[in-house]
Amino acid sequence: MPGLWISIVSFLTFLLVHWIVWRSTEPQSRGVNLIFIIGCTSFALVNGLVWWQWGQEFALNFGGIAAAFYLLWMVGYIHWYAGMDRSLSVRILGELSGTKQNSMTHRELAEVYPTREMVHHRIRLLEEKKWIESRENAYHCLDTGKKMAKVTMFFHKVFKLKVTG
Amino acid sequence: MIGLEALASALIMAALILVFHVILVHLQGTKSWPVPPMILAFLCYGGSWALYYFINISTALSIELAGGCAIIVASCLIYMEIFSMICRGFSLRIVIDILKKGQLDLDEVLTGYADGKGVDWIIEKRLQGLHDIGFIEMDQEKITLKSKTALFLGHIFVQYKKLFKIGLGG
Repeated sequence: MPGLWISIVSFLTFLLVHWIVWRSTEPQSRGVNLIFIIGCTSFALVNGLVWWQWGQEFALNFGGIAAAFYLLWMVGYIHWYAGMDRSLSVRILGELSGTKQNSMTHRELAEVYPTREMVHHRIRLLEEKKWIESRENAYHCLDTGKKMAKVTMFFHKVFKLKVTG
Repeated sequence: MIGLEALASALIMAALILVFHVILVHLQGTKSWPVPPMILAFLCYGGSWALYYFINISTALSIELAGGCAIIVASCLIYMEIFSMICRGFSLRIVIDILKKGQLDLDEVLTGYADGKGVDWIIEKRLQGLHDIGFIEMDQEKITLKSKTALFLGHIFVQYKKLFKIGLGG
């Protein structure tokens, strides 16, 4: 299955470039957008090389299948990465696994993972994305934030979700 | 191009996930637990595509079928991620709270999180989630990792974050 192999080689190339970029840059300059760009570039690079070697045969027989599998690897990876970067549960498991007894008190958890700091970090990210802004010591929604909040609230109603967050 | 019809049909039919999910949630009646209907919606989508594939494209097991399955799994993962953001999105919830109240300062965001439940509630909710899947046990005082899987995953998460210099995360 050459299509499958091409997708695997593309994904490994992506992982290598992703690792190099992440090791050599500061956290502020990264994000899912950059993963997307690196992903597309790696796929284009590997597939361009295969095209150059196999020509039309590649385009007709393997291109679509390679793209389908590559989409799967990338979506799976972004799912994993988003969890590592943002998930509270992942952070809690990480903190617990780092203790000697694999256990901590609620107070210790609050010390290593203070909620105020956690909220402040999210608010800063929302301000960077221009979803909210701070005016006179209070946060206000900007247009993009309003749109996203309204769309989300619409889906809360559609799915009859009462408690979210 | 080989497999194009199979792949395109799998992509187009991905819209069915939302349709099936909404219908199944509303068939539940007063219960509002959206995760089992979502899994059922994934199965309905996969089943519908398989039916389409075997009737219109091919009756043989081929690479096209594998490619279509890859698109189906990817579509389900994308849907799961978006739905998880709608259900459990922490930042989105902050934006919704600010929109509902017009404006909030940092203390009000902390105390008013999720319609007044407060931000400590989300930690309790996540701990309860980890408890429900058997990863931790907890009482009034302590939280303890319960399973070897949880310990293994915890180490993997920490090592991955170190390897990619992601920071603490969360």
